Amino acid sequence: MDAIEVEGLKKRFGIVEALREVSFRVEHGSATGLLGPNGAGKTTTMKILVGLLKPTGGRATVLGMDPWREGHKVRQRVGVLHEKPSYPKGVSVRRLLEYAVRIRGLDHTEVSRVTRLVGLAEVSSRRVGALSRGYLQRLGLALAIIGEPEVLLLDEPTANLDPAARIEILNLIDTLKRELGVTMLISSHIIPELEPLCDSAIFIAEGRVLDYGTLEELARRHGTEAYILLEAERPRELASKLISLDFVRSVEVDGSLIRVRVLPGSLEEAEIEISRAKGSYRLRVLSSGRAGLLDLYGRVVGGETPGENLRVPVGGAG
Amino acid sequence: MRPLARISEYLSVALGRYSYGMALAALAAAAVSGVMSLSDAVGQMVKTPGATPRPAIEAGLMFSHLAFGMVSMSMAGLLAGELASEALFHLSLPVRREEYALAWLLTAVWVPLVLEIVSPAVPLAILDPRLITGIAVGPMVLRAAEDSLMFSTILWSALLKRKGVVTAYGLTAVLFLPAIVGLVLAITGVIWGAPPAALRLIFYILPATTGTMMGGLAQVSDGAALIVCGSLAIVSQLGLVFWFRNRLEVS
Repeated sequence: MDAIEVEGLKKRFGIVEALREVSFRVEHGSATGLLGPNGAGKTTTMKILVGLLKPTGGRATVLGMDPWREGHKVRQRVGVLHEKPSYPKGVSVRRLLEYAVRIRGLDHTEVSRVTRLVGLAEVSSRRVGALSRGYLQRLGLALAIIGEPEVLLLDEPTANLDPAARIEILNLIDTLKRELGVTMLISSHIIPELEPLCDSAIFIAEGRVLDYGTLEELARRHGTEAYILLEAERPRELASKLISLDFVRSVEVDGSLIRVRVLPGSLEEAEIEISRAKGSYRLRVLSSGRAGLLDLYGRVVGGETPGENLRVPVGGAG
Repeated sequence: MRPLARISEYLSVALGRYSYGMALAALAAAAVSGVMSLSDAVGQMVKTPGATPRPAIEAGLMFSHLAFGMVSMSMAGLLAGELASEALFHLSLPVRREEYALAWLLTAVWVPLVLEIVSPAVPLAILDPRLITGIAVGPMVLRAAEDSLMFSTILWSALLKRKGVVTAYGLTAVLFLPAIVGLVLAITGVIWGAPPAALRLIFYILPATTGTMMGGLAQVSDGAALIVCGSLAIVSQLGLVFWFRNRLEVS
């Protein structure tokens, strides 16, 4: 059984159909991006998964449980960060974390652990109402990871943050992913941000899932693939050798330049194969790479690609 | 963690900053309503020395009803505000929706109700515990049933997530309703001699208020009024818990 299973999910608010027919699965241990334009139904899906909204139709299970009927059990094992959270403003950061720790039936040492992990120690005695947006988002993350949940639902974790705070939060999520190894479902409409974090994606628009799967599956289905750009002597001879390899989809020759398109997931294999021919053809690899989330988004969702100019380096900044 | 511990923990965070204000309001209301019943008891002691005084606490209860009605309204207003914002945070934790309902019933109905009923009697007990035995229980029980229903309907109005609606409804129910009822009963009394059958329903829904205004003229047995009003209060409160459990969505 997958960590999250959603089948034919529908949600209506009055006359507005927020979700029309949403179906997807999220595997245990994966980091999945829930991607779509504003108003696509990402937040509604997240809220249904944590038991805050009741679906109008269809079925959703999280860790094998119905979030609406067994919401408290789901929330015991799932951490959530909302897009626009509102916390009691009069209490201190530490008191709020203690409250969440006690509600989960955990020891108070958990407060120190999450405070340290997300970098809240220096503001732990400050009132929640006095925190900056960046620290509020850190607080949201701290609340979400209390008790080491099996699943993390992060709804627009970088929304309304300045670039510096955005990089900090993305780095934090990256650290959590590596250190805790939890299943993550991260929604965003700024696609490039999620590129380094996600290994799977769900594309959603107008309340419908357009496609979902691992990035390699999606790339295969939508004709985006990895590529290697070479420069070599006797390029046509080399091209005829390369095209015979199983994982090569196409080879284009332009003067001394060769563009090799390979199946997604076969990039490393192709690079090894090409390096063997290095001596014979005096070749030089100019560039290589995989089709990114942004390309996939463009192909699956189409229209204006959101956040195209917002490439954020993850892992570099502190 | 057990449900009661979760409710207590939740309330300590949700209402922490209001607790001193609430305690002060309760103390002030208890003091005033206590003085009102106390003056009646002392008056009886002076008139008939030696006899056991039977303090009439209706006046104290009426004041207490107004004071704690305001407290209940304020608490329901807090729920309305929270449902529009912070409920998203609280209900994202492993808290059951019915526990959330019970926490607010406790805050906006049961605690104000207990304080309202007890406060006129406490000063009597402090002065002389024997005075308590002289208090007629009937008016207290009717007041408890009526306000249990009224406070829970104020809490229902909080589900609209608008403090203004709660305030408007709360003021109408607690402050203006007794005056409106008195006026209507007086007018119908003058015109027809007795209220028409449809209006007699008021005697069952507001037994304490109409009882204080009309005394024996209400022509409704206390027992019948208690059963009707008490049943409505139970249905209203169970309905709230049921609604929270099955319908409360936070967006």
